[in-house]
Amino acid sequence: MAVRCSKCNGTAVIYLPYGNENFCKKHFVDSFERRVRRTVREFRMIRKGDRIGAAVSGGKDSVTMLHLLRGICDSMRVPLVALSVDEGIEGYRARTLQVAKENCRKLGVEHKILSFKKEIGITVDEIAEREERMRTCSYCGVFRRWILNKAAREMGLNKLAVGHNLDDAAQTILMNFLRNEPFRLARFGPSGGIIKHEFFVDRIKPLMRIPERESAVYSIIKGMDIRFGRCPYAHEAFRNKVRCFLNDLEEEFPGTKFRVFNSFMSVRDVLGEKFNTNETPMKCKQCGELSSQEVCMRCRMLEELKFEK
Amino acid sequence: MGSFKVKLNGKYAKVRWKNGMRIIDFMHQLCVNRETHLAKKNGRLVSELEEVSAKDRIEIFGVVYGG
Repeated sequence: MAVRCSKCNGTAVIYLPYGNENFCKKHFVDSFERRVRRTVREFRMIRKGDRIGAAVSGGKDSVTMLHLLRGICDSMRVPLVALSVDEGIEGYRARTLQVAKENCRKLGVEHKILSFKKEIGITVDEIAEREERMRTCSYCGVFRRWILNKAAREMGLNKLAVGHNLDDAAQTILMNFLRNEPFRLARFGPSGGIIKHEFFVDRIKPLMRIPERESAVYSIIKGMDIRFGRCPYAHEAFRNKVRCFLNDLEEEFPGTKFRVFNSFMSVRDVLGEKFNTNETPMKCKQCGELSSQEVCMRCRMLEELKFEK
Repeated sequence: MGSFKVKLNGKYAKVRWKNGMRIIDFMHQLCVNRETHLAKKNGRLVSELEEVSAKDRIEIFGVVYGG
């Protein structure tokens, strides 16, 4: 016998264990979109006069975010541009970039593709070939953020929307605890960014209260033609261990991810007061981008790779 | 109790089946987490609490990989 929607008695497509509810397509989509709009409103992520950039990798989260932002930005008459980064991961990124391109075309959103090769001078595949101490994901994250921030600023955008979902948030919070990095935790949140500076484009995270699984269901229902592939380097990351741990906990104790996130949100201001140094950021001696030290992480990493652009 | 063929991430896997079993029971047998996998019954996306009858086609696929 079919499981019925808790709202309308239609056929359910998803069960949300944390709320003990089943939803049909229509009521799930309504609830999903309402939650995203509420998050955007609650944290005042988008205001009149903003120019929004959406970081779109072509995965389920970023494409879902792009579809929702398109509606929100249109209703507020705020311009929206999509930015993608080609890290140079053979057999993975080309496919997702195609999805990003196709969705931008369908939605009529301007799309700009930036590449590691052009902006940094090295691809992720090339980094992975070198036997360095740090994991590939560490380089990829730093380089990608550097490229996106620089490109968004140069395009005159004042906010950069990223597809971070509830799972990502709960993982980041837990990882910062496990690594004893409370100062990083203090800078984390649904909107804003690490610092306020004309060189730094604020981040916004409209999917911050959406579990990753639900973002997948939304993309399937909306026929976004997403391929649920895996980055070949994702297994290396510490994040992956934390992800598995949280998913196991969530299955046994539904609502765990929400509780991790909500606990963090309730102490976020205290953390901010204690660990926010209010130091004026420096400009990197080598690339001129913002940095907490004389030479930024991107340039130090490039040196480590013994690679000069 | 009989056996049942389930498509798991594109490949067939055998699970134990008896009347009244739900997709979530198959997921547990296959050591698959419902946080990372979704299910289709007869080609349609369904809740994992859906019961499975002998003639159903069940597909379980991963959607949360990261990266």
